[in-house]
Amino acid sequence: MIAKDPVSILPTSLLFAAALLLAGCAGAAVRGATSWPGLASDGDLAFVAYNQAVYAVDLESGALRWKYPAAPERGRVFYAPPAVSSEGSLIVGDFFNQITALDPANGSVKWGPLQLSKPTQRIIGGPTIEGEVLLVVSSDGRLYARDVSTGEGLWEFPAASNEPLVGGLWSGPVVSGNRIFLSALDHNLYVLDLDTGDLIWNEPPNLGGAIADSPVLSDGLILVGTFSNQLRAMAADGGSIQWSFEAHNWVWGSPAVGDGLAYFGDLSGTLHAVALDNGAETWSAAVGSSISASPVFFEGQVFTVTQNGVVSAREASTGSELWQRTLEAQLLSDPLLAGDTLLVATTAGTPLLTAFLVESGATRWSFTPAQGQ
Amino acid sequence: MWDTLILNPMVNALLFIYNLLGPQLGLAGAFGFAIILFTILIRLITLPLTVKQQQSTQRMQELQQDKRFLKLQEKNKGNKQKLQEEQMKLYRELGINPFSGCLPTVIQFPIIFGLYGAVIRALAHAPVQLLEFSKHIYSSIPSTLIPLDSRFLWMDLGQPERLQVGGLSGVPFLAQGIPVLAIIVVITTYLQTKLTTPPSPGGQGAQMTQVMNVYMPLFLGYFAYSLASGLALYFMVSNLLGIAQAIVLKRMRANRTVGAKVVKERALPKG
Repeated sequence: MIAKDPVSILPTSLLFAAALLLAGCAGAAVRGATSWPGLASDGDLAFVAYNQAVYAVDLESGALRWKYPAAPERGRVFYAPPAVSSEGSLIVGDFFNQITALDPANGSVKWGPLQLSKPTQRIIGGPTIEGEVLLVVSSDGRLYARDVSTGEGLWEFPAASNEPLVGGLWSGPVVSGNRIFLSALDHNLYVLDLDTGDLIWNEPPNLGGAIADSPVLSDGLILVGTFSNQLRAMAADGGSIQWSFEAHNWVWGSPAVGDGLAYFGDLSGTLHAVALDNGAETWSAAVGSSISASPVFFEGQVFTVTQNGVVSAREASTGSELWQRTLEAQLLSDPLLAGDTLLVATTAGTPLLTAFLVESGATRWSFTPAQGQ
Repeated sequence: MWDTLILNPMVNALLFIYNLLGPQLGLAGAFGFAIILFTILIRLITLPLTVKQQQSTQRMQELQQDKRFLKLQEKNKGNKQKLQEEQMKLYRELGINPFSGCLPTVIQFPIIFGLYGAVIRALAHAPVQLLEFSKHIYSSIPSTLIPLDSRFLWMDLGQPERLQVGGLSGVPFLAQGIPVLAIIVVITTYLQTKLTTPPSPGGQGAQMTQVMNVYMPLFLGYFAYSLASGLALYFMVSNLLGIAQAIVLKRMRANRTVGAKVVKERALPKG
């Protein structure tokens, strides 16, 4: 028997090794963290949806009160910001396209999990609760209205007649009176009737770019950031464009509004402040890294987080910096104001949640899930 | 460096083709066609390297049937080191570089990885992936393209592929549909591996070839089954092109061998 010269099978062996590597890369790319933590609070607890659990953290001490589910469950990961109802339910959506109602006091299940459509679809945007109606968006391109007490279906709105909707729905709807304002990755803004789910504006305005975050309603205007590098302002009563502001890159987050200005960041790393009445820029600040999260406005200050881990407070009228802190992680989630505390969640880093005093930027506490949590 | 030289140009070339086929020409399923065209383009660019590698493998295979090579094997049966030394001497005498087949393969790696990375990134279906994707897009590419329309035939290229067929709801493993692409990927990977791996006379090399012939198709088939169908489409097209290429090269070689024989026979004195 003749031994084959090993050199002659080298090229094929190398290709085989490459195939192994490629397949490994694909697995990592697809199965890695796919979104950033979603934050909510009921005034006593902060709720963080991240990866395989929803954590309830005491706002005073930063101690873990409970987590859901108690042990990781196959396929269930949570990134959408939870919603708290006035009657005491915490609604969480997962990347298995399910919604679950929990008791915010102890994390016990009130109803669910309920499957919205295919489990390959995801709930990325946070649910919205208006009275007894729970509104949930899914990447399948549908808005689902359910009874908040029971989870029973009320109506569904397919944002595209030809499903699946390109890109789907990634941001929670906003309700004003009897109208629902729903932004979509398909570049459109949909306005629906809260009772029926029927379109109120029969021709949804196309805003020229994908919309990844919720619209903001202020002073009769609807403000929407788009991937076509713009912040657009439309009249809330008819949808006519009032003004458009050209940023330097994609506008991912929603604007914060206060003192007659809209504050928003873009992926070039610029924070802008524009006048609500005409869209003229009042000031801008280069922050050194992409801003994908929505800023927060509070008592004449605007708070922002950047992708490279910087949390900062600025004077809202001038943009001058008041304080700055740096965390060793990516900051992609919208920060959340809870009383005099600014909550900041990190992506792929520790601590998972940090509470800063808005006044000074001092750290009140931080929370990192213990091993096995 | 990797992003600037390899990945970004590939991502943007893919987007350019998509823009041309979809928004400009109005072709339905533009992203699927963009993946197919892009894979063909890359295969054409790397064709000279692939040809060189296959020729080198072929030469090495022919050498193993050579009398001198067989004699060496027989003579140095119990002495591996001596055998290797003698083999290297023979390579030098015949002007063959045994590693010449590896270099084209190694050069192809960044291109294969780049193509693969471009397809994966363009299929961004979740916030972190889309945010990452945004960093690779040139400013000359219109941002109105985002998000890409990933529908192609019956598939959503961002999701694992299953063909829904009525009446299969009760059939085990097929209730979610038939994984057509995964099946094609298994078959085409097997055929490609078979065609591009020279038959082995035995020993360790033969074992390894057998392992590759079995595991490579199953391995890629599993990934085509469980990952985004855009990747499965890329695997399939790449395999089909590889098969076509191997067949053409084999035929060309066979024609050359016949031609050489005819010339040799004509040159021999008659009688």
